[in-house]
Amino acid sequence: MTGTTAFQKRGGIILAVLTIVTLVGLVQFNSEAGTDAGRPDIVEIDLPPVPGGEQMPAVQFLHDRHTEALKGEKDCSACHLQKEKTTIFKFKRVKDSLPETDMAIYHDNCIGCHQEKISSGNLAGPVSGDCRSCHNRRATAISSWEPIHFDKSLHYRHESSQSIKPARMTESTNCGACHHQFDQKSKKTVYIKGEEESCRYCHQSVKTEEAQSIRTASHSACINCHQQMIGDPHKAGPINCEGCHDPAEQKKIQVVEKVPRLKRNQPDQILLARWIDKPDQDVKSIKTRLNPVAFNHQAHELKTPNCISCHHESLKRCSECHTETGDKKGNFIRLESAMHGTQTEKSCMGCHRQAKTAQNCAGCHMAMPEKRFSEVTCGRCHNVDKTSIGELPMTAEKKADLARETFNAASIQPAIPPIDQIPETVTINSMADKYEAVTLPHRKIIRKLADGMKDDRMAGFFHNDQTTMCMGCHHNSPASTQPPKCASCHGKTFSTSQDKRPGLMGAYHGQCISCHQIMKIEKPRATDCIGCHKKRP
Amino acid sequence: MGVTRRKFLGWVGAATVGTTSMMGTRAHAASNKHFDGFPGSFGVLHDATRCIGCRKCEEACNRVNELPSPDQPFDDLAVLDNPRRTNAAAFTIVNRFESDDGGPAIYAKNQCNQCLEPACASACFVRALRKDKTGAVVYNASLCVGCRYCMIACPFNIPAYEYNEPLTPRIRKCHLCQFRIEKGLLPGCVETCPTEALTFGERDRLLKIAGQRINNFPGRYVDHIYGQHEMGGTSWMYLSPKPFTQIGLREDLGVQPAARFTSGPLSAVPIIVGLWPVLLTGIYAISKRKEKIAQQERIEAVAATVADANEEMKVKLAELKEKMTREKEAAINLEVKKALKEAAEKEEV
Repeated sequence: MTGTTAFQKRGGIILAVLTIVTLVGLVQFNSEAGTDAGRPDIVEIDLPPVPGGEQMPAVQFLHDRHTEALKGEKDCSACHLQKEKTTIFKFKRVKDSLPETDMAIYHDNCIGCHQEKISSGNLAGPVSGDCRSCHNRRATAISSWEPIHFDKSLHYRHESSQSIKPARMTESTNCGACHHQFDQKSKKTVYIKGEEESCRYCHQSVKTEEAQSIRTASHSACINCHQQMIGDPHKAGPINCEGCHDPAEQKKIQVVEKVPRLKRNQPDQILLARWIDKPDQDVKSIKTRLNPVAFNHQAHELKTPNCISCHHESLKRCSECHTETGDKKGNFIRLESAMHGTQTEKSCMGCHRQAKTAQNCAGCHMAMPEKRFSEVTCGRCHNVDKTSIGELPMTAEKKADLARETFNAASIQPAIPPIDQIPETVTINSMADKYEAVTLPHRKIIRKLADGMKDDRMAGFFHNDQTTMCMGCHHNSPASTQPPKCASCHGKTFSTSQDKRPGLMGAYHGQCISCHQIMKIEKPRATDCIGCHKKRP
Repeated sequence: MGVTRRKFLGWVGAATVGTTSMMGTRAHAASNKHFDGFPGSFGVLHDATRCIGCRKCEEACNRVNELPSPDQPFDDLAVLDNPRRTNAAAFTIVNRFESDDGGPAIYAKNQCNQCLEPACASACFVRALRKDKTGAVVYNASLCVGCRYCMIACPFNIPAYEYNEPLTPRIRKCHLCQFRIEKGLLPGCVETCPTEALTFGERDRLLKIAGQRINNFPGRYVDHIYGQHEMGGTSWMYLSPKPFTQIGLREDLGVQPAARFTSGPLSAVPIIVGLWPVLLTGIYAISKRKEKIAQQERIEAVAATVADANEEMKVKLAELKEKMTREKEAAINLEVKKALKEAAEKEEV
């Protein structure tokens, strides 16, 4: 070998070029591979179209990538302007103006900064002429953005924070630091104690004449406050997108398990009925009026994630919007439907229905056909004695007193028949054929079901009759501690009559197996025949 | 030659188009008449929310139909790990379908759906398959010619063939235990199902029961009864907690019975079958006649050629004769001249 030939030289160059291209590709690929889980910080910059002009595709702007790049060098003011000491989370402007003007702001400042970076020898984003590097329809990153739920725990952590000071020195609580309402007279936002509402009452999903959108309002309020707290001995909240909107970061948020009751003038117990607020002469005869419901507001607060689980945006009474005849304010949902509708979780019955799908409850309740409204027992909730109402309209104190009395009278302990009246075992042998008879541990099953509702006030309230729980299996016949045998109703094969009730074998297997499956009782498995029956020799 | 391949195919094509356009009955395809099944015919409702995948139905089916015993026993539930389909030794099978949302697995039984207007029967040209008044789609092995068109026609891939039966292979499929229904018994699978995931009854009543279940348990079922309208309706119907494609049932079949699609073209088949001998005889006769004519022409041509040759020969002979005569005469003349010369010379001497 004397030296490299021209062919070898050329080959070498091609190989080198290929290697570089591959490496560059790999590096680029790797840089995007990190985004597999998605990014929470994608901001779409899409200005309203200029009339008659042609629109470029929207820009996918990665917010946290920019803050990361400028860390230690510049702060928020690099992009966001301030007005009256609050940062406005718009890009280099305090207010939107004409699309052309805003477009120029973006172009000048984005490209200007990129240019500046490049000339100082750093890496930076696209510059003038690289239009499609920003304006393209390719989705370069997948969004993992999740809304942040300001739940009871998070609310409590803010409410109890030493760093958040009351708006005025005269106030004992710091509620006014965030809560406010718009005063029409002074044209200013003011805080009135006891009238706090959910933010969404005014700040709706899109901007209205009265208020900013919830997005703008919450970013402005939260981040500005968090920013001021930087350096505070107490931990300040996040100021980047990820901190609030990344699913992984959300899981890291500290949760206070036992949140003290949040007080906002709400009643502890209340009577629900419209007619008790009317003067006597309007009511005429209370005979035709339905018994009020004694509602334990305090107990329900513990069971819901936050106030708007039941109240919508406003914390007003239900009947303010849901009138008896329906009104536009309440989306024409009448008071009766608002309480009894089963298709929504905001109503009493809808939420209770949802609760019945819990593992402990579902074994019996999922096997029960959905009741028609006429089959519902009204008196369980409408349980206030009308004769003790007295003079109308009722005062708030009287209502609370009567409600409390009704609660004290009602039991919230689940009841079962005396243990000696419950057969310990039941032998099912009416069909023994290929398999031996089954010995059903009857008392054990009841104990297990009763244990499941021991600490559940709702279950206790609704199962306070001795025989209620028996009805889970001994259904359709009148409630009794001595229910008829299954074979009284279920024949050898399924019934050919209209109701097509299952045959005895189908009824037994259906009830046992479906309950075990729903309640996730692994043993015996549904297909493990000899787990219950012994095989006949 | 008389008939080329191209010409032959051309004739066949022309004949087919002619007959179908003249005779093709499209009354079915265009009518809006819908067959709702025989009044009072039976069916089965399979409720997948109740099925536990115990395979007891498979076992009962095997027993009542006296099918060969399987390689793995029926209580071996490991066979559910792989999807299966019906075959000549198993008229029904249960498959397990994992839930897409991590919920419990769903089991679904698969067998002949006993269509109201069965695709298999519409494809069978010897009527070995037919819809019975009980609701069953029944098979008559004594008529079957083994063409297996039914297997191709079935949208549910159900009919199976006894490939391992060399002399008397049959099509095998679920027949709704027609022989048991006629005796007043339940189909084997229905009778044995421990959870009543199978409900037997008149199809109309089953539809009502299915509707009631959907109403009584909102959220438990997909709001659809599979088989009420699929392929024009089937006698075997399904309720499912998940979309039916997730329990192995096709949702792309539409509501037209298979027979509706094929009745037009297939009604032309007997015509073509009847015309076949006539057509072929005609083609044969025409080609035969052409051959005959060609033969005739050939003979004539040969005769003409022979005649021509004779003529030429004659001319040649005549020419030769004349030549010879001339030569003879010339020789004679020469001899005469010679003799005369000699005579003259003698005289001079």
